[in-house]
Amino acid sequence: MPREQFQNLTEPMYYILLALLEECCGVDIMDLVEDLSGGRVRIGPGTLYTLLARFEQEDMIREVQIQGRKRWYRITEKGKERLLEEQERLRAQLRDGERRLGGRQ
Amino acid sequence: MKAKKKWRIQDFALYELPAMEEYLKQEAAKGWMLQAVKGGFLFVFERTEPSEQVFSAAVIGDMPLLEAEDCDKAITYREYCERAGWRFVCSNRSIQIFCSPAEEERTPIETDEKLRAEAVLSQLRKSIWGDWLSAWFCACIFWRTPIHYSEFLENNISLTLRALGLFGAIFGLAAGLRAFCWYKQAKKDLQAGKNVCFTGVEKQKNKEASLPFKVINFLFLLTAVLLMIQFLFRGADGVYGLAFAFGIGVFQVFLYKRIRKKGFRKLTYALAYLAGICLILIFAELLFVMVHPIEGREQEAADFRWILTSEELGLGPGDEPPYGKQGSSLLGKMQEYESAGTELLEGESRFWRLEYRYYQSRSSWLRKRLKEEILKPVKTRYGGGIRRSFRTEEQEARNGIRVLGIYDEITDGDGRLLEETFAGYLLEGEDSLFYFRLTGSDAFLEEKLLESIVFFL
Repeated sequence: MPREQFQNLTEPMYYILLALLEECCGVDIMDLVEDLSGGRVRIGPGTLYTLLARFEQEDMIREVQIQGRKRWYRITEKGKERLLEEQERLRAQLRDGERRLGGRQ
Repeated sequence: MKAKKKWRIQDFALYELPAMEEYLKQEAAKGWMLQAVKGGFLFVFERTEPSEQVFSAAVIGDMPLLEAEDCDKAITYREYCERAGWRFVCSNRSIQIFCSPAEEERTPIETDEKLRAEAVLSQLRKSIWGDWLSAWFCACIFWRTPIHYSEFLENNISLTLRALGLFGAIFGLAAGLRAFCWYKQAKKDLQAGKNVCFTGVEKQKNKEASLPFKVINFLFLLTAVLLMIQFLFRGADGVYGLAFAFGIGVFQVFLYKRIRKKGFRKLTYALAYLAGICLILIFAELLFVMVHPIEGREQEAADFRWILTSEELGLGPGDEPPYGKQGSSLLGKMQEYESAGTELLEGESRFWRLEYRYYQSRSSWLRKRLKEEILKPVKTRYGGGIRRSFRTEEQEARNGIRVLGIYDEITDGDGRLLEETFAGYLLEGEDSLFYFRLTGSDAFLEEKLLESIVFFL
């Protein structure tokens, strides 16, 4: 179900939304995600294509420009909210982890 | 001189993508690069330098089954993959095939196994329906062939066609069942958050090497080849049949290729399909008239070696040459004869008609069906509740041959008998059936005919 699938974002999903905080061409997102993650996260073109379609369907991103077959996307307000929720969730995870692990280091 | 191209028949299901990738990789290492896939199963390779290539077979999810191969979605998808360094090779129905030199490290096309599995499942769901539909179509050919059971004895075509229908149905059913079982398991694994297991090359090779798979494949191909050979040996009839089937086949392939190229526009293609079928039927009718002049058929029948003729019975030759058919097959042999004429008797002109049907077969099942066909009128219900049926009456057996008299009865809606006429005799030998009817003659001739037939059987 679409709502369930974006309840917790996977790493690729998170970085795609992050990349689209600024207008970006679909095919350039792969390189941008790699840059943003310092080479740690690599998204396959097929996976990227599918996720962009699903994000657009969920109104988390929107098309802002089309030139021939090239499409530019940007995150929507709904997408930003989701991104922020995910960031908060990750921070909470990190805090809990540091609290638990911090004393054992 | 080394061949520049080769063709291989391979049938990879959507859940056998890793097997397809490995197969293409092995071929590339031997110096054969995939060029195209035709019809979903004919792989065309061209000669190149042996190289280590990595292949990726990707499925675009949520694509309509009859979407154009070069639709926007597919082209955009390819552009994404080409941007990532993959070279597009060709598409095989909903599968896009890419390759990349092994020494160049590329990000895999699908880095999310869950999304990959979901795409495959969405397409597989549709193709399973295709398998069931093919199986059902073949089952219909098996069930409805032939239209008359006597065709089983006329030649081997009906038998071969029925066998083809049976093997096709088993093949389609097995393919649909395997796909369905994989689909259910994959869905379960996805929901449980487990990795979905695709069929690798070893499992796929095991499937192809399995005896049932080889046997069904072999039988299917053998019956298809036998059918074509039989058509070719039937002379003008066979050539006409083959040309007609070929015409239908070419038209279907043309329409399918057009749909793959342009996408499926329901109304346009429905109308084109109907128009095409009508044109083929009109052309077939013209072709049929050309290869079957009526005089030719009657002359052919006049040259048959009939079991019994009107002359032998003392009726004289008919007003026209007798007509009917005869033939033999693996299941037995048959002959159907009809002749009519007028006889001058004591200054009076008397019309007579002789018809008989002789079927010989060791198959009791077939003899039973033939008997049912003989004892069933072509039309049984008429307006106002009027019904027509055949009733049999056991007569005295002769020389171990069972003799049944057949009566044509017409009853009204309340079951009251309106009319009854004698409709001939049915004689049952050990492995044969003989139906005959002689009208317009006297009882002496009828008895003479009965004795002749008993002697023959």
